[in-house]
Amino acid sequence: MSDFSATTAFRLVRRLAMGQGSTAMYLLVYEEGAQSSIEADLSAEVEVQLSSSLPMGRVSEMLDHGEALGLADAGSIRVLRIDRWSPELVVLLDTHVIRLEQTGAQFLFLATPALAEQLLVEAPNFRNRLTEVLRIVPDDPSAGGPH
Amino acid sequence: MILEHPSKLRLQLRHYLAEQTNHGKLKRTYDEPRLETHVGGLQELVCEEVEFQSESRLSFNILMEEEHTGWFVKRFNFDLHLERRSINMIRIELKQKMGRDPLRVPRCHFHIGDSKAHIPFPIMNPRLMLHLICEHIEVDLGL
Repeated sequence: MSDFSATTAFRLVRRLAMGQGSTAMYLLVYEEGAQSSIEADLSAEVEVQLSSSLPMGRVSEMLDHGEALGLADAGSIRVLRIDRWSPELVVLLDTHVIRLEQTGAQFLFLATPALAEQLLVEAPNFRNRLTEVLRIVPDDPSAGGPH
Repeated sequence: MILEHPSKLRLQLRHYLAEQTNHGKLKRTYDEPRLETHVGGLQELVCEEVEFQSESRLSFNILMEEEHTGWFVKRFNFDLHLERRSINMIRIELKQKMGRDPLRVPRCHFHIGDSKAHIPFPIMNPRLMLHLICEHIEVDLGL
C-alpha cells in the first residue's frame, strides 16, 4: 500500500480543477486517524480553488438505504468514504462503475489501507476503471517549498 | 482590516500563487506560504521565495493577531527582487508600530531601488497586495 504516490488535498484539487468536466475516479488511501483532517483539507481546497462545496457521503449509508451511489445529486466532485467492508460494496461499485463514468463527475473514494487493498482485489472491474490510486496525507501548514 | 483566519488566508494565497504558475508567470508550483504560530497566539504567514519566469524573486511575511472582532494584520513585508531591470528591488512594508515621525516613516510605505526614502503606501488586504505585485509591479517596473 505504501507504494502509491503521495499527494495532498492541495495538489489533488489542482489536478481535478484542470480536468473538470471529464470523469475521474480516484481511490485515496489514508492512514487510520487522518480521516477528519483529510476530509477537512479536501473541503477547504475545493472551496478555495473551485469556489464550491464538496458533497461527502459514506458508502455504508448508501448500502443501508439502497441508494445507487447517490448519482442523482452528484456534483462535479463528490467524496465517498468507504467506511466498512461488505460483499454488497463490491456489487455496488462493480455494478455501477459504468454509471459513475457516465455522470461526468469526479469521484474521490476514501479508504483505509486495509479496505483499499481488499477492494482492489475483489472489485477488478472497479479497479480497472480507476484513474489512479493515491496515498493522501494531511496538509502540513508549517511546511513550505516547491513541489 | 479584518481578515479570514490565517489558515484560510494561507490557502487563498497558495492558490493564487498556483494560478500564477498555471498562467506561466511562476516557474513552478509552491507549497507556500507556510503558517507559523508564535508566542501569544500570533500567527505568521511566511513565503520564503517564489521565482518568476523573468527570474524576479518574491518573498513575503504577514504577521496576524486575533482580536475580538477577527484577525488583524499587525505587520507585513513584501520583498521583490527584479532581474535585469533599471530598478532592482521594491519592498513594501507595514510596520508593527507607528514611528516617531509618521511623515518621514509612514507606518505603511515602500522602498524602491537603493533609495532611502519611505514612500507612503496604502494598507491593503494581503491578497490584493499579492495581486498588485504579480500582475502589475513585477510585470513592468523598471523595464
